[in-house]
This record gives sequence, C-alpha cells and structure tokens, in this order.
Amino acid sequence: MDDLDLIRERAETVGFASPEHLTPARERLLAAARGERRRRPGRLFWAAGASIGLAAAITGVVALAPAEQVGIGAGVAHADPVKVLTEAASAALKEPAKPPRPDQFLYVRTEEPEHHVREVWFSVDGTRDSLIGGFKEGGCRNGKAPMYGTNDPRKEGMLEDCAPRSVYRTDLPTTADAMLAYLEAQAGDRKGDVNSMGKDVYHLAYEQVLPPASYAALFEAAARVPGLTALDHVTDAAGRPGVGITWPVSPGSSPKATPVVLVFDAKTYQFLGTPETAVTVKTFVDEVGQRP
Amino acid sequence: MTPEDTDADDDASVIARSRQQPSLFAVIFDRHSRHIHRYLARRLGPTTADDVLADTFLIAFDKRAKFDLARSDARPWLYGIATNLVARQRRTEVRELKLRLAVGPPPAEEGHADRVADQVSAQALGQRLDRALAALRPRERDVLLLVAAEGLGYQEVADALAIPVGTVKSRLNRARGRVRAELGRLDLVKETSAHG
Repeated sequence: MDDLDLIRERAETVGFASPEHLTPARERLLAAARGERRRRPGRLFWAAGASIGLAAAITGVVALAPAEQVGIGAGVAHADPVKVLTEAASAALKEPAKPPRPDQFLYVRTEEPEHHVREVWFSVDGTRDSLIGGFKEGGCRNGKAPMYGTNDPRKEGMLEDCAPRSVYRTDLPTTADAMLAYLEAQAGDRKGDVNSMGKDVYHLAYEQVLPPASYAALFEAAARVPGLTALDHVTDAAGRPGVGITWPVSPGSSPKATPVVLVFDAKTYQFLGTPETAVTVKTFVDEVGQRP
Repeated sequence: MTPEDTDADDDASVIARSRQQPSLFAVIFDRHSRHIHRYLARRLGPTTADDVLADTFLIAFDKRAKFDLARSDARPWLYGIATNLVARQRRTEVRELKLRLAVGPPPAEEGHADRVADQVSAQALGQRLDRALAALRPRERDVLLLVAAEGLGYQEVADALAIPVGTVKSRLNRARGRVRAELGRLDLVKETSAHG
C-alpha cells in the first residue's frame, strides 16, 4: 500500500448520496432553466411593444407580468401557508395505507418542462438494483452494493460498503412534534436553517413513500417552519393549477438560486410537485422498468 | 425513456441541445451529480456539499454555451467547476479535515516514537493522512485528490483544472512528496498493508 492507496481508502469511507438526496439541487437547476426559457419570450414581447409606441409599451408591461410568472403565480397570496400545509396533512391522513412488498419497486414518473420525463424505479427494501432515469444504482445485499458508472472503468461492478435504504419510510415519526425534531436533527450543524429543512421536506415528499401518519406529520411539521409564504395561483410542470408554498433560499447561496415552490392541488391539497417537476404517477410495481 | 430519448447521446450532444432546450441540462445532472456530490462531500462534508453541488450545476448551466463540444464526457469539466467552488471554501475544507482528526480517538502513540510501529492502526494513519492533506498547498491538494480519491486520469485532471498535463504531474509529485514526508517512515505504511 502506498500513499495513493491510503488516500483512496480514506476517500471510500464517503459513498454516494441517495438519488433523492440530490433532488433539491436538481430542482434548483430546473428552476434556473425555467428562468432562462421565460426570459426569451419576454424580450420579444418588449421589442414588439416598443415598436408600436409608448402606449402599447405600457400595455406591454401589464401583459408581460403574468407571462413572467408562469408557474409561480401572481404576487400576493390569500392562501396562508399554515392552512395549506394543515390541509395537506389532513389529505395525507385520508389516503389508505398500502404498504408495498419488500421485493417491489417504487415507480415515480415526473413531468418536467419541455416535455422531459424523469422515471425512477427504486427497490422498496433497497436490496435490488434501482433504475434512475437510464442509470442503474446497485442494490445493497449483505452490506455490499455493486458500483455502476464509476469514474474509473476498472471499478465498474466492484462492491462497496453500504446500508440498505427503504423508500417506504416506516422509520419516521408519526407526530408533528417528533417530525419537527427529526427534521431539525437532520439539519445537523445547520440547525434552524429553514432552507435545509425545506429540502428535507421536499425529498421526503417526492420520490419516497411515507405511511399516512408520517406523511401527515411531515406537512404538519412543515406548517411550523417560520418564513414560508403561500402563493395562490401556481401551476406544476404539467400545468396543473394549485397553491404553492415557497421555501426561502438560504443566505449566501448563488445569485442564480431561486426558491423552491411546493405545489399542492387547490381543492384536494394533495402534493403535486413543483413548477419544475410534476409528479404524475407514483405507485409500486413488481419489476424494475415496469410501468403501471 | 424520455420523449427526446437522450440515453444514447453523449454529454456533448446533450449540452449542445440544451442550449436551445435548457431543461435538457437535467440529463447532465442525472449522469454526474452523484460523483460530483460525493467528491464535494469528501472535501467539504455532507451539508456544505449539498449547497455547493447545486451551485456547481447552476454555474455549469450558465457556462454551457462555452462547453467544448469536442469533449464527449462532461464529468472532468464538472469536477473543475466543483474544484473552483471548493477553492472558495478552503476554510471549510481544512475545518472538515481537522474535524475528522478531532472525532477519532486521540493518537495514543504520540510522544512514544519507539512504539509507533506497534501501535499504529489504520485510524491513526488516516488521521495522519488528514493532517498531511490539510497542510498541502490547495492547488496540489486538488490534483492529488482528483487522481487518488476520484480516480481521474492525468488528462482528465488537466481538462478539469485547465492546466497542462505536465503541471498535473508536477503538482502530483510535489503533493505526494509532502504527504509521504508527513506520513513518516515508509515501513509504517508497509506495516498497515500487511494487516490488509
């Protein structure tokens, strides 16, 4: 063993984060992509307005505002974040509990802007190979998981240490108090960082399944987070209308960073996704790659 | 899989298309985010890594018009952006290395040089390694970690950091020299190797 081996061995104590752990960063990227798409028609509109003259340009300002806010809804909300999240919690409790079998897969289909579709199949008990988009993630069996898509091709398929993770989260608290404590503990040294908690709420609600009591507790706990705002008229990435909850961006993040908005159905208060991601199918299937 | 069917396309063609269709850049995220996040977590710790990962891809997205389409693989480019962001977090990185030193058991062999070889454990060696890494010049540490921990080739590191391959090699040699000096006698390293 030489110094390079030693460094490699030391580095290998830190493995891959779970894909759902990375979804908030992905969401930020999609929000930036959305911003860029909206700028272009906006400019064209201005150019047209200016050529017609001042009066038309003023009309242009009025007409531009809603176009700029596609997906994020208009300004001041009548909706109250506490009420929206409390309703979301009661909606969660009305869902029947349907525990999956350990050998099944959680299938989530997400529609994204520009007709992009993300599909994932996560092994319920974490022991089977999952499929995320077109990429395989090794299942964890007897404490070892095969590595796919490694930087070093020689390591492809080699085993690394792991702990199986279930996407059906029976390990989570079922009361708002305990869930809030859990979220705070997850934040680690960022205790009190609202943004960090927002990311955890999002990734638990997105490509994982919580039994109804925990799912309700998640939204009840979220309702107690300070600094959230509600937006009345938002649409998710599939164009479904709803009410939005925004999570503020943490201080010091990139100027490109935009707040993540969670979209709930305005009538049923079911979680729909975000303006960048619309969860259109979420269910358990028997095989990886199988669609319901 | 997707309506655009990007599975068969290399990174360069996906990035080229993302110039007109911005959200296609999510495909680049899906392909490489795990590796970039792990790299950042190794260097900066898990919580900082989350935020810096988001920033890495926001910057990459902004710079996608400048991506060299002759390169089919975007990963070295992303490592480069991530490494630049690590540079802004030097203090966090050094703190992370020192934190790992602090959480391990106190090195009992300190001050008993004659018994070092007997008592040395992988953990103590790891701590010594962290101390050595913390003491390196940042640009040398970048190269050393990209090669040793991330498994990048010399050319990939050169692409990532926009430096000549010769510079990669010389920085690597200097870094290794310093680490070896810090780790001390070579027989100590052999000792650990014998234990597996």
